[in-house]
Amino acid sequence: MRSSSRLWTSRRNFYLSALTIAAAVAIFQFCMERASYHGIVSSISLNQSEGNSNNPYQFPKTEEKALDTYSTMSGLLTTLATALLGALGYLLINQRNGSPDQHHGLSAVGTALFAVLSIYFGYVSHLTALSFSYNNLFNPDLLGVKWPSRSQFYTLLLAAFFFADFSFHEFSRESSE
Amino acid sequence: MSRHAPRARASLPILVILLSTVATLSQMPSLARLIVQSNPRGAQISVNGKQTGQTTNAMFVVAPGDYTVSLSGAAKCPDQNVSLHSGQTITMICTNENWTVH
Repeated sequence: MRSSSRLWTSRRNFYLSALTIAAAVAIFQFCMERASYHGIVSSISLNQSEGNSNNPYQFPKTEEKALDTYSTMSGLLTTLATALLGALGYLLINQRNGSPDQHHGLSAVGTALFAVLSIYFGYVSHLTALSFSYNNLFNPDLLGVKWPSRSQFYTLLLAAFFFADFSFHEFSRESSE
Repeated sequence: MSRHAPRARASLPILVILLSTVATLSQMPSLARLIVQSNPRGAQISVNGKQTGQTTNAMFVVAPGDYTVSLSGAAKCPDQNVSLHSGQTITMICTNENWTVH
């Protein structure tokens, strides 16, 4: 009876924490998009593209290359975050010493949380790249382009930090046995 | 089993709120396109009273909202108000001091 009540409390805490994090991300994203997109976001002269009757608004080559680099980096960071989640799962499954201590558990939660956030911001980067590609414009200096990419990188960095902490404790515990 | 059912049901709305929050979050940035053309070309374009640094013909990617477009120089047309929604493309052509908007 007591254990089922404790299980329910921990589940409720999980949902409430997830809801709080989703709300915090929503507020962050809303503020950043409001700051990024107001008035004219970008402009292009159509005078140079004259003569190409099939596509008068052709994407400039330099911007196309910048967009390509942006998408490639976003994909790479997403792959790294996924690999980090996989490595965390592997270490958790292969734990010899039963349940982890509180500090150890917090490192695992931190790794999983920031890796998931990194993947989420990777998806936001993808949507941003898609939107700019559709509008035939891409400027890497725009805040709307920078913030999802930076958020993805820094959340991955935090995930890597927590993972290093987790794996260091894991291996030092194993070697002390 | 039956004792846990109300609790499981209670967690369902939280899960729905969580998923709908994530679904709302993951949307493309809302942008619209404004194409300004003139005959003859080369007129300076101002949007909401500010010089854009572009001359006709030019395309602007803008946040949805109301804009006032004016031209000066090579072609002249009265100030024109346009309202842009997310994903919309509006083309404005200034010919013989009159705007054609579509």
